[in-house]
Amino acid sequence: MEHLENFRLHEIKQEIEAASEQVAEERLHQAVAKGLDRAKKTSIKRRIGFQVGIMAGLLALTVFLLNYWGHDMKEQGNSSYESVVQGSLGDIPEYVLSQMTSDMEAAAEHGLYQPVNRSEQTGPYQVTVDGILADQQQIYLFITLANQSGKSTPMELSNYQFYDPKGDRSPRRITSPAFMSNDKYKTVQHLTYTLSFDESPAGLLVFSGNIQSSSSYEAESAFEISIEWNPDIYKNLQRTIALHQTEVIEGHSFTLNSLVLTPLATTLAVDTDPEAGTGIEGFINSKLILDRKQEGRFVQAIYPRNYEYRYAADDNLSLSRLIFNSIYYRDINEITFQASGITLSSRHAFEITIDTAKEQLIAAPSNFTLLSLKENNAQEVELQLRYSPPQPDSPDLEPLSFDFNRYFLDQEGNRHRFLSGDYLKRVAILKFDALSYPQPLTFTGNQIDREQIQHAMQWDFPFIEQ
Amino acid sequence: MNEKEWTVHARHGDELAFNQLVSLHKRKLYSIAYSYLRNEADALEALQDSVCKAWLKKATLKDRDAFLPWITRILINGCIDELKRKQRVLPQSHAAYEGTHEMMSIYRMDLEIALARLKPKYRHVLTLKYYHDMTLPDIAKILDRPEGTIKTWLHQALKQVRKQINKGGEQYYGASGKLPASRN
Repeated sequence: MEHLENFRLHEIKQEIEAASEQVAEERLHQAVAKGLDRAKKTSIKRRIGFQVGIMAGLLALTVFLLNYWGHDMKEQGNSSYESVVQGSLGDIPEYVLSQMTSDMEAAAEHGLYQPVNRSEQTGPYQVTVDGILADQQQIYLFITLANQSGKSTPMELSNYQFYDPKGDRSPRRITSPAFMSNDKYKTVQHLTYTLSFDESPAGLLVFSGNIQSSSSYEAESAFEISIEWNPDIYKNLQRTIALHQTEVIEGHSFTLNSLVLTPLATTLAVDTDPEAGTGIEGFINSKLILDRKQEGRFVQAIYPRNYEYRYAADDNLSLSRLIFNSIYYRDINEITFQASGITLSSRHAFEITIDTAKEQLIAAPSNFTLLSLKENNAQEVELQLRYSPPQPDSPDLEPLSFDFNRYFLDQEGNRHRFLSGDYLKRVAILKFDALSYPQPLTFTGNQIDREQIQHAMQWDFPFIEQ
Repeated sequence: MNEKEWTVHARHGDELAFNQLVSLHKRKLYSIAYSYLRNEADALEALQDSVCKAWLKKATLKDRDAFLPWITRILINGCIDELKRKQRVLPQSHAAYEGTHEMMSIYRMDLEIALARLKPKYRHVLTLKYYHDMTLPDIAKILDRPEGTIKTWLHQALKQVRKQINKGGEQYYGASGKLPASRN
């Protein structure tokens, strides 16, 4: 093994560990959900194929017998085949169906998918909102981007936003969408946005943003599309269970307020202390157990797929909602919230000063090092900073993490916006315009400290609607 | 309900039990997939594929203690298939490093090339042992072979990697040990 050690085995191992730590929980969850969903669709197809096989066999026998009696039953044979294959999700585009988890599919089967089919041509691009799957808590938007420039250069969406022009309700959370295809050079791309709101929008949203080619400096093409749908379809599809359970763990208090069940999500609303400098970031091993005390039944649990936050003191984030998979269509008598502790987080601002003309790091926290500074071309500078987190106290705990603010300052205090900022394996890759700035430049951001408090907790709530 | 009980229920088609088991091990499985494929998108795709295949084959899961080794076996076989597919599309030297997003030292390249050229069974043993710190009994469970066989495979794998790296040294650095100009 000594021989292999010389070949940077440890380096590769570290890279694998870092990649495994850094991949977002939501992406892992999505991969599992999609895999399971694909399997179930395959099982259904197999069953349909089997049924079609039996039907075809019976049909062949019927045709044979009827032909024997001098009748032609070919037409009837075809209509029988179609009646087996057609499903209730038939109007939904294939790419949308492939994105749906079983929750989403159940909601769509209950008529919650609404076609939108609104397009806008902007420069050489066409942006189309194909459809919406919505309930009171969650909105999925299915989008197609088409590059009609004749060049197969990757497309990029930037500065996208959603707003409700009537009530100014902007989403509490928007997931960063990824193109469905791994081939970024495809000229037609599909993507899904997931939005959640404090208050459900009244059937009208404006989706705006810019689209451009990622590999050229062509001008951005702006678009703005109004999306209309009918919220009455899901108006009454919500069940709320009051919880009102407050707990204080080593001075950190929180209240479990309510559990809201809709066809697309189960939401546990939590209140945490808004003044606390160190906010509750999440619960350790939290889950909702369904009918825990029911005898003779397999106890089932669901785990949070997302956490949502609001801003508390000192720009710290404070937990406000845990989003679980939907249990709306299930028959439940009692629900239990269980967790083995809380995770706390606090943010600490940092400043890094660099003379980019002299390529010199002037000041930085000790865990940041200047990895490289180079001009990618006459228009763009790329700065790479490596972040080396200390080992966390608990192996379950993510190490310290960090983020940079969107702007940096020159020596005269003028603000400049980054062209892009990416974090790759604890390396921040920051790109900005190659201009002659008054030196040095100051880059700011936050380091995020985390700690865990172990404290077992469990509450049973009878399933009584408010 | 513990993992063994979940496994029994999952085998009989309980989706939530299956989901719980996969959710419990998803990061570990991702990490294993990443060690073969070296980019996030492919590793997530491999995880998705393995979950799909595992659900379809759930009736073949016999041993209630063996959910993780069983799904890991499905996963690593899928990873090898994906690497073979990539090699058909890209020249081997590119296929091995596509998507790693970072410069790699020549030493690392030698080791990576040597691993890529191993028979899948040898590659599995080295990957699981040295990248994931698994014990020989654990690896034996995953590959469904006796421990003695795994020990032999490990010995053979190391021998072949050393041979390959030495050969690579001559091949890449030349007799002088310097990089040829074309590689700079």
